[in-house]
Amino acid sequence: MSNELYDIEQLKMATGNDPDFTNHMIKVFLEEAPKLFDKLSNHFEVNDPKGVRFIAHQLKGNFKAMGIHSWEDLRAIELAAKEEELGKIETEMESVQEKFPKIIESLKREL
Amino acid sequence: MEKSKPLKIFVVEDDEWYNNFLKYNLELNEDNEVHSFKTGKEFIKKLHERPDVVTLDYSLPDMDGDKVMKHIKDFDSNIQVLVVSGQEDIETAVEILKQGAYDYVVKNNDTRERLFAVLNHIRKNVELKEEISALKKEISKKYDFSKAIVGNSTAIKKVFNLIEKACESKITVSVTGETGTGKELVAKAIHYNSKRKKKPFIPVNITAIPSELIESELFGHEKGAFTGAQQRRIGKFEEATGGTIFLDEIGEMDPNLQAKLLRVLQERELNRIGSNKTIPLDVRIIVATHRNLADEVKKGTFREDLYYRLLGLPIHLPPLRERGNDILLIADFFVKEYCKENEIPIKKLSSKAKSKLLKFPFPGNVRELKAVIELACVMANDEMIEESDISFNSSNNMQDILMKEMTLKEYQARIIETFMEKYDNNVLQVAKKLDVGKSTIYRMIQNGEVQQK
Repeated sequence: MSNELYDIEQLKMATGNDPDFTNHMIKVFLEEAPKLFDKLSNHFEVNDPKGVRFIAHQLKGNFKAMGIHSWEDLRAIELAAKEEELGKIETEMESVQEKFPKIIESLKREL
Repeated sequence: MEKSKPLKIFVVEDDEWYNNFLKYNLELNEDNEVHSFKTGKEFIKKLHERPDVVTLDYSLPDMDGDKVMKHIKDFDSNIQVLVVSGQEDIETAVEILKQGAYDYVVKNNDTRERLFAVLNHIRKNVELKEEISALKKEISKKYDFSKAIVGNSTAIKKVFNLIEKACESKITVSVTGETGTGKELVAKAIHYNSKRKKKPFIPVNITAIPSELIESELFGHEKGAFTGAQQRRIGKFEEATGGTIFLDEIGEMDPNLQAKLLRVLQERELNRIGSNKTIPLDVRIIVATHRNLADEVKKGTFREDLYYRLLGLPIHLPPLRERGNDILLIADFFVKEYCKENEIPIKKLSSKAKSKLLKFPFPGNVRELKAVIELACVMANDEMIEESDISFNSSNNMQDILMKEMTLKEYQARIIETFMEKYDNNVLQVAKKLDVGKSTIYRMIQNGEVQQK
């Protein structure tokens, strides 16, 4: 089901409306994204723009493919990290940190 | 159709989600054999397993995409690289394509469709390449002359010996022999067993090209060289560069063209019609004719200077009727070839069928024997080809008829049958034409000696 956090139709489109494939990709996301997200938070905390940029880029791609709306926050984070101006994106980081657990919980219910 | 071998695809992608996404998609097609790698180094270790395709993420954590690409292309430029990237800008795509990637797929909602479309193209290319390499092998097998030119007679052994000599050098070869003796087969055997075998074999039948076109066909022309020359055209000589040109029926060549050919052969270079640029000639020449060129020289229809330039190593192919038991060896070869091509059990010739073949003069030589055998294979009801399954259609002249060695009574019956067919079974008219009694004809029909068609 789609909600204010994501549009599941995006993922369905990417998987050719194959329910098994869709579920498989949700499971991979549930397993991998929290690890990446922890890494992103750590890099941000230690003020490591290179690390932030690399992980934000990867997560952005995953979020986008999964139809998760906050991919745009990740894009802003990636761009700021590229400019080495992490101070400018505290709002986006807070926003995505606040939404991420909700996204995970909601996606679990999709299975 | 035979099932093609699986397409081996290596997915090189550090992003776990995309790695799974690509792998799952690609494995949906059971004709794909998919292996995935998370780092450039891990992938390069396995490159020796020769994938057909690599899907490559250009931003790997341990290696730059262009370095990975270089590794692949240095190892085997036939491995197709499909770059799958999050970068949507055209400049990156162009740069990657310049480095030798087959295509560029952006990670978005269309990735799956694009991926399938590109892989279909690659699969077709791989299949075509395999087909070409199989055909090349097939050709060299086909023109292994010890297998393709069948025979044990002294006459044909002499030919084998000459072909071997011709293969060792690039001397011009002139092949003579009656129609159907296999002149083109000899030319191909020489080409495909010579050092030039990897370059083109270009056959040109002089009689098959209208005289006004032949010069441009052989030497090519520039755009606008004459009315109708709307584009530059490469001639057969140029097409055969590095390889062999086979000029069949050279004896029929127009005297004007003979002069032009002579000049090209003397200078070892040519000019396309309408061009001043000379093109060096690196072509082996094999000519063939069913005529006796020496006689043509005497008659003044063939230039003497060209004759000597083309004579080179002469190979004369004996007519089938002078090759004795070769007829049976060749017949057997054609029977097996026909049965194999048509996927039917191998048939055999009965002894009566064999003796019928041996008695026939085969004016059309090996070509005719092939046609006779193929028809006999069709007509034979079981695995034995009987005498009655063998029929000859070419024997129209008296000499051929006499070679059949029938009894006078049989000859009489065949003559009446021929006339009956010609005069729509009108017995009275046939009797009058042949000056025999009509009752004789009626009796022969009644006895079954004469068949009405």
